[in-house]
Amino acid sequence: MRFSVKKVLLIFLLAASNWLQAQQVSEYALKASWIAKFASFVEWPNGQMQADEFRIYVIGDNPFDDLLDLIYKNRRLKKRKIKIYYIKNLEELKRCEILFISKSERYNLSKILESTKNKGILTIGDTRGYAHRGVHINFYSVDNRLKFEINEKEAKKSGLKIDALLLDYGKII
Amino acid sequence: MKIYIYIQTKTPPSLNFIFFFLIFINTVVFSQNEERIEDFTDLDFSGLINKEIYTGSKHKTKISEIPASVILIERKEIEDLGYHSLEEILQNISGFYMIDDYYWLGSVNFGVRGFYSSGEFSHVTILINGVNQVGDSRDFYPMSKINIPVESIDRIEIIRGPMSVLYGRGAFFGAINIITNEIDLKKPKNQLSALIENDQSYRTFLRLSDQLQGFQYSLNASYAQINSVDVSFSEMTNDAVFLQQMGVSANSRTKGILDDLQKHINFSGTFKNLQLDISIIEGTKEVFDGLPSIGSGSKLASYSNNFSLAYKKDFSEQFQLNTKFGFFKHQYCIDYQIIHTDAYAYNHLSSNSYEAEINALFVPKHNIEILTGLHRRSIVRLMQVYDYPVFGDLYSNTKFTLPTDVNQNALFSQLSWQVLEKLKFVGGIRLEYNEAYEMVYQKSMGTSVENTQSGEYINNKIEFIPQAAFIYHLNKYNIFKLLYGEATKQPSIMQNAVLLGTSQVQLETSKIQTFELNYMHTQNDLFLINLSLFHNKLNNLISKHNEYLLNEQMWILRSANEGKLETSGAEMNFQINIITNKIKLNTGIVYQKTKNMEVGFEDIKPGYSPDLLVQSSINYQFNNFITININSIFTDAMETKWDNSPINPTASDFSPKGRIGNSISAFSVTNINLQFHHLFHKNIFINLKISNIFDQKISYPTTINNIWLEKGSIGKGRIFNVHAGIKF
Repeated sequence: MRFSVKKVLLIFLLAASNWLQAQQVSEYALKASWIAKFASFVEWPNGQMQADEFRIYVIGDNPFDDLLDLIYKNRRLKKRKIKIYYIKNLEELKRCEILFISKSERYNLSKILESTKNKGILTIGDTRGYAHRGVHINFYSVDNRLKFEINEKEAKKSGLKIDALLLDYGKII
Repeated sequence: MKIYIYIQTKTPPSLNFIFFFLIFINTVVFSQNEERIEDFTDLDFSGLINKEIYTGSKHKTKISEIPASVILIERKEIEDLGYHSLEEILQNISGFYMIDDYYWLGSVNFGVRGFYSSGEFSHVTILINGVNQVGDSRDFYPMSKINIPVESIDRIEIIRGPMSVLYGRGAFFGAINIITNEIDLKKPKNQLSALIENDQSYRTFLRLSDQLQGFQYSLNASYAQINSVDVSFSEMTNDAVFLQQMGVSANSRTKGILDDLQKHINFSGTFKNLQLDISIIEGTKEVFDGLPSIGSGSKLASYSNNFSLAYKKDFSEQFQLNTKFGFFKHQYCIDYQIIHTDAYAYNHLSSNSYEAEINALFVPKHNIEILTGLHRRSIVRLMQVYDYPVFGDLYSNTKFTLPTDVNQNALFSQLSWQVLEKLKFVGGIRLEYNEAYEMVYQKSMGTSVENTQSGEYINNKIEFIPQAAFIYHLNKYNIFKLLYGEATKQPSIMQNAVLLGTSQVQLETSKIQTFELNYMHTQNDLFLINLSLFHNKLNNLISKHNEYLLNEQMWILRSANEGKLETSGAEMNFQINIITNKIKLNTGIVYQKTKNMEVGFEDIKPGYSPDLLVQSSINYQFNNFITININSIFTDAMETKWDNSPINPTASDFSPKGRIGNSISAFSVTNINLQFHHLFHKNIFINLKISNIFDQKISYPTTINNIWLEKGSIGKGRIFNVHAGIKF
């Protein structure tokens, strides 16, 4: 039996070398990249954006590690320099364009959404049920493909206009 | 008639060489382009939508979400405290305490929350990367079958409370899931290290791991020689006559007759939806099987191979399917060195088993998840052969077989419902059904007392196992859990086997009910407190009697449902990080009272149930290069088992024999570990550890496995060791 076990292991390893051609990518690297795409296809209400910076806040446990910093270093969005902030508490939240709400905040979600209401902040999450509860864009995955759902109604309430192309790719709830 | 058994013990070196060479090549090739940043901001919508993702291993369920009381042990803590073995880790967990009785199948035993299972460690399920490590013959978790090198462990999740709904029959008191396949890309992924102790024990270890574009693997291999405790037999028994009859002088020592040789390889690989786990574990452990050993010691050779393949498929956001298949092979073989050098005694036990599970996750609403599944384990070709001519014909040439497979079936379902934003309900049931199986003992073959005994284990009852939990998040820092759980444990095959040919009735299923209130407070990793109040009710516990009657010169083996216990207790764990994480304090305190609820035995304190357990550690980081760690465990006094059988019924003395051994005093053990990081080279580490620094005498209470050690078995005294290695 021990012969067979090792042979199976060898076959698995060698086969894996070939399968690598399939090129899977890191879940959070892809989510970080999507954030820029969302920003490009969302219009913020007049006067709601800051003049100098495009601010992205991450509230709660940071699932991106340093991916956001690495990807958005020296980049611009809406002709503004991108600044990333990581916060643990709602009290630290200041004026911003995008707020990524981590899974760790699901028991505070109502408070967070209350405080971002009508402030022109695009809220993004990646936790089951977030879009139903009022988060504007929520990631989910099916069979290793990243997808997202859009709560268009709540986005409209916040004064955000989501481009039809983005609505086509997302699941509207 | 002689029974010959062929056991393959060696693998051709050429295969080993190819095996390691290919893995090395894979490692080098895969490591070539690991530093690039994955940036897809320039892709268009369809490019982004069509990218396949892999989920990083760091995104794991938080302990606050699990419907049980949970403790996590991370790699850093294992390294900081310089743990050497899984046994050492477990005895540092709140509520756990260890008893090493030199058990004949090469395992130590653990008590959990005031309860110690008679005979073998069988009441907590141990999984490695989700693969159950159970030994099928006795439904137990022998460390000799697991022998996992601690360097391979990335994380251990200890889930207390009955967890049978998801984990099945072994999870009477909970489950321990050992993870060896988590990779942190920011840290070195490979390790080569060696450990040596002043008693000449040593261990070498190699880890190769990588994660690249969705393919992730870890390979861990170790080779260890653990030398035995060196104590005089007279420290463990006063019965010099018995020792003399067994060919041992009272002054003889245990040195060299309780050694342990361990070889372990485990591989875990995931790619896309597939996960493959393989482990090959071999060992030779010297043991006492009811009698003292002589010469070079009674050697237990154990072989364990595990193969598991899992496949996960998301059909939609609302429906996910998981399948798992496993094949497990387990063999024991003891070559006894007992009584005199010409005595021949031999025992061999083997079993193969297959396991299959399919479960589906339904998400009918965004706040409801339903997990439901089917599980089946088939134990095939279980066989025990023993030949003890030294004890006479009655114990010679005996073979135990199962003409039919042993099939265990289960259907389980768990509902997780987020009732309110802060309130979650988790409820589940498991229905277990064990098919009947036949057993045959062919005893004393080829002798004048040859006979065959056969019988059937029939349990037509479908066991119903419920579980329920309410989890309330007052806010993100304060979490309350109200937990109720039940678990059952059917008698093992070998527990049933010993009843063949006796007039005893069939064993019934053991049951436990647990009520627990748990409160957890956490403050941004600086402060964590975890409080539990628990009450356990155990019924129909199977108690084993296994003793050698010197006068009659025969063994008595018996199992019976005769235990009924209740334990009430409080447990507190706290962790504080102070002075910007330079000092970390960890303490776990458990106070519990176990009562014997058996009618007529209410005043007899249950054996092996200490009232107080304390585990604590302090870690001080001087700078980036030097860390000092001190940990200490306190185990309260313990009684041994109460033997209610009459002292001498033939002489009309029906008074009970009483305790099988002396009471054991409370003891505490303190260890110190000094860590040097980045010494000489940035990835080189050296640990200097002194275990049992005050050289305290560790006495474990007498158990039925070695009833002749009436003063108790003894653990190791002060040990110095050096552990050095490179991470790359």
